[in-house]
Amino acid sequence: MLQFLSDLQQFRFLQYALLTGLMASVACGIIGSYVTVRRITYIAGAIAHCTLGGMGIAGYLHKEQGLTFLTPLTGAVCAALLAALVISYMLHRSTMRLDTILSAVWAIGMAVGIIFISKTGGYNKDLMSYLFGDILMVSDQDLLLITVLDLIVTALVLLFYNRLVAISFDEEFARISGIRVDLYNTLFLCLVALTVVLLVQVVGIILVVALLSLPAATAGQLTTRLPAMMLLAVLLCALSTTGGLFLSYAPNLPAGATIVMLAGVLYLASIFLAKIRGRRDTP
Amino acid sequence: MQTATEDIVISLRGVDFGYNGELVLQDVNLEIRHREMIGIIGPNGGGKTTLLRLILGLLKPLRGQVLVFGQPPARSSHRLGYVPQHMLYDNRFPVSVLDVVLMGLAGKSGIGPFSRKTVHAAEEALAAVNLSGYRNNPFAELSGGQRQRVLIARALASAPDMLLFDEPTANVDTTAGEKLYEILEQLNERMTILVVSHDIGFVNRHITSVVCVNHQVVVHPTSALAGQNIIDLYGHDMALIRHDHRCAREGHQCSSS
Repeated sequence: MLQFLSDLQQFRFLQYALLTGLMASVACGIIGSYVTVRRITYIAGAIAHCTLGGMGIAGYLHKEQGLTFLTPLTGAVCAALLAALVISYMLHRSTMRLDTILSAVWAIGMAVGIIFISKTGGYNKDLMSYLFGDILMVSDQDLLLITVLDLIVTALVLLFYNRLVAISFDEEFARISGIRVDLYNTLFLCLVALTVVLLVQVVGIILVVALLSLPAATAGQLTTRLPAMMLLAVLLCALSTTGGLFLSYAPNLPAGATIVMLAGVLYLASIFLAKIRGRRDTP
Repeated sequence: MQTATEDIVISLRGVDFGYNGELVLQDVNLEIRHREMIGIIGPNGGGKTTLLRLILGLLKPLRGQVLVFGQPPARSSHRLGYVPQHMLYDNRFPVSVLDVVLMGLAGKSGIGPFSRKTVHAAEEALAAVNLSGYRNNPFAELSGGQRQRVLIARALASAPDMLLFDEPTANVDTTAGEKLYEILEQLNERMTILVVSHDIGFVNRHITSVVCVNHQVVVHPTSALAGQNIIDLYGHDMALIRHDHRCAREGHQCSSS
């Protein structure tokens, strides 16, 4: 326990890990709340898995072709945005089932990633760290990009908050009242994509959906208005990432999985709390 | 003549609409004038909601023309206030009553937080449906009738020139329904109102004309139909019987009997 605190003062990688977690929590709480009330967790899941393709291609070009400016993180950003645009185009312009579109994006993205990772030399430790996250490996360049993405997401959500809420609540009414629903939905999916990329750095592709939905769901149990839900979700997410990092450090557990376990425990506790409260209100 | 055409709020001319090659509405001609209170009735699947969605610009006609305030709906639908059936969306959505009313203004206000003026407009709309005291209550905790009134306030907030209701009494009890129609009557003093309802008994007392929709559209002035003797004879059941007669293609003669 003390080991963690003394190492935190000493080691840059641990400071970066902590900062990455806190930074991602801001976008995670805000976007996660939207995703939860709109019930589109599976869109986020498809985008998350699709980022493997981007990371695989970027990693390959970086190592094999010497394009050193490309990092897995930039590849993930491109893949996630592309996935968001494809999904949003198909949603608005085609009559295909959403379910089918998401499965296609999800699976094709992963397949591309696996092929490129297999063709990339060196120790193939990458796949595991993409899938399950490696928060302790965040570089200073990554941290800079994470900060920029975080600021973009937060600023855009705050600017367009009213319209996004109106669309989330009642899309048809929003359309009639003159809001350009398709445009804002596309913007929104791009923000989800950027948030997913941030979270992939923290907990990895497979666990993104958990971190996006668990703190928001916990906050939803305890609040009645969206801004309060978002704020609480940000705090819970920060608590989970920081706490998870702390708990996993000494016993050398995987940080991403520990973070998600903590978020899960908080969620179960909130259900329990809501039950007790409900029983007290209705004797 | 000039005033008569200016008076027309909604006009449909020769409108056909269908899904997957099957016509739901055929050759619809309809004109709605300023400050009318119109009831749209008809059997399920007859095209009531489709007609409403054409007027709102959510659907485009296969043939013919829909004009709202003399313009295509895409350009003028923001002048319409729409009150949907409330069961259609997530009733656990974390918003307060005032938040919901403010959504009626989200398209018109700029980016960033709502201005004080916008919030004031929402508060006035809430007062118009007698729910000022509930502004900070969670929307999810209201009764069906109260929710319906909040949705009316949301539609009113943007100061529309016409209100359209989809089954306003579908999810509320009789007393709450009466209260809703009282509010509608007050609003009708300043704007045109269109009500889609299967419940013609409710509609009847306040409505100036009835539009029957069953693939085709027939308009009846209510004065010609709403004889007191019919009400006496049929009481509550009148709703059902009139519904059948006036919407059957061959049954329109009953209006003169």
